[in-house]
Amino acid sequence: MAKTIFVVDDSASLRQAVGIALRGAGYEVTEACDGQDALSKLTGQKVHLIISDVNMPNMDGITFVKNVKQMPLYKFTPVIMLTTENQDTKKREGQAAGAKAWVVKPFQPAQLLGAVEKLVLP
Amino acid sequence: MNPPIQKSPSASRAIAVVHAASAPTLGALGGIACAAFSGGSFAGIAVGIALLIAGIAASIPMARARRHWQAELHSYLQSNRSFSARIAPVWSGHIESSRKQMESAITALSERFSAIVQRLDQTLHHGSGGDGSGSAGAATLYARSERDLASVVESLRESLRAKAQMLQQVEGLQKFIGELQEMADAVARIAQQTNLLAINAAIEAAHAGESGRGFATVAAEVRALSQRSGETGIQIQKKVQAVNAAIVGVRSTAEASARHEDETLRGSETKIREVLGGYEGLTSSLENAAEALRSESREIKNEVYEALVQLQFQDRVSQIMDHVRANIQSLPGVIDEHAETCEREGALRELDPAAVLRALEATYSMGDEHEIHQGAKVEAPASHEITFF
Repeated sequence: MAKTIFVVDDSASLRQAVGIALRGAGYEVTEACDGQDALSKLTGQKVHLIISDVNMPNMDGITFVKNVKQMPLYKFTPVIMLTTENQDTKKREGQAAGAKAWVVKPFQPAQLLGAVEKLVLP
Repeated sequence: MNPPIQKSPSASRAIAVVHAASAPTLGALGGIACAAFSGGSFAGIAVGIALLIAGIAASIPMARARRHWQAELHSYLQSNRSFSARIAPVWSGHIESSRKQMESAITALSERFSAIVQRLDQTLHHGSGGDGSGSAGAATLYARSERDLASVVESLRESLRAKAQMLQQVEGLQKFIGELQEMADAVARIAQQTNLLAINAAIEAAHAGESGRGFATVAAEVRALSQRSGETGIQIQKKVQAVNAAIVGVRSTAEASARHEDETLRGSETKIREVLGGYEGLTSSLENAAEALRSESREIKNEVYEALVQLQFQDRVSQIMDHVRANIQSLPGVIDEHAETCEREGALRELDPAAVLRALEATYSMGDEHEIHQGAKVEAPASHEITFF
């Protein structure tokens, strides 16, 4: 049974790129285009890891992660922030929200997979 | 507070007009002052009235000039407002259109790459024999064919061994034929001696006369029996010879058949080895070709991954364009605010870019943007970094 990774990014091409890298490594990938869309799609299914952008319309990644951490079913789901932001203040915001790692775009598939394998739930 | 403009011609003219506009007021004030300080004398009042009239008279063209300047200022500021209000949406529209076109194209390109990677994965899966096909499947089939054919050859050998045993049994029959022949010869010899014995008995019976007549009949019957025994012995000999001839024929035919089958078996083994050898070579070539294909596919996948990394520029460029577009969209508001300030203060003020740049800087999400903002040249995006919390 493949593990499921939830990718949240407003850029369709980024979602494609992340999806290719993850599916190539045997993961199942589900997608959402912003924080609000992502919250509406977290309806009880098992998610082994979340990868989220920060700057998105409707609901940004930091707010989304804060919301996820309030959901009993997903409060222990590890989150990787994948963003162009590399300011330390933003990173601290992500950490405070509950993210486990911060990956700055553009990402290398091997590096992202390394972070995923390190954090993904068993 | 922004400083007044000192060097531009329009600004100098504006300052002159503003200064000129205060002359009637000074005239009026001078007239009033003369009247007041003259102690109410006629001359003092007259000078004061004259100065007041002169001041009022001078104020009429001055006021006209001021109204003209204000109208000009308003018109100029309006043109600035119109300029920015018309240009900013067009620039912004072009940037947004470019951003969307790029996003759409890059997304389509990513989807194509995604499809290529999926097809490569499927090809690799088939090539590796994951579904029972491909070179691994051929190798398995080869091994099974070799095993099955070896089993067929062994069955044929077993059959030949059974035939050889049967031939040995036929050869054993020939020994019995020899014994039968000897027994038939013995029967013939006994019949001959019995015949001689019967002849002698008949002679002795004749010598006995009437009393030997009965014995002569017995002797005659014995002789007849011996003759039939002799004939039976001959028949047995003939039959034994016929059986012997048949056995020899069968043996000869069986030996020829065994030789032929042995040769056929050897030929079959050689052919099977040749076919299997060829098949093995083909399987090996197929395996080599499949491995080359797998290797090539892996390379292509890596290339596609690299291309995907490069395509991520779209997300970065899209964000940069979005930040610039938002900043351009704010320009009409900035121009409007500046125009209101100028109109309120009745003077042209410098447009200050600092606030606009600060607003732009506040939207930055990438280190590159901050570096470029500070005047640095950034040619490639920052290196990939991961921070674990």
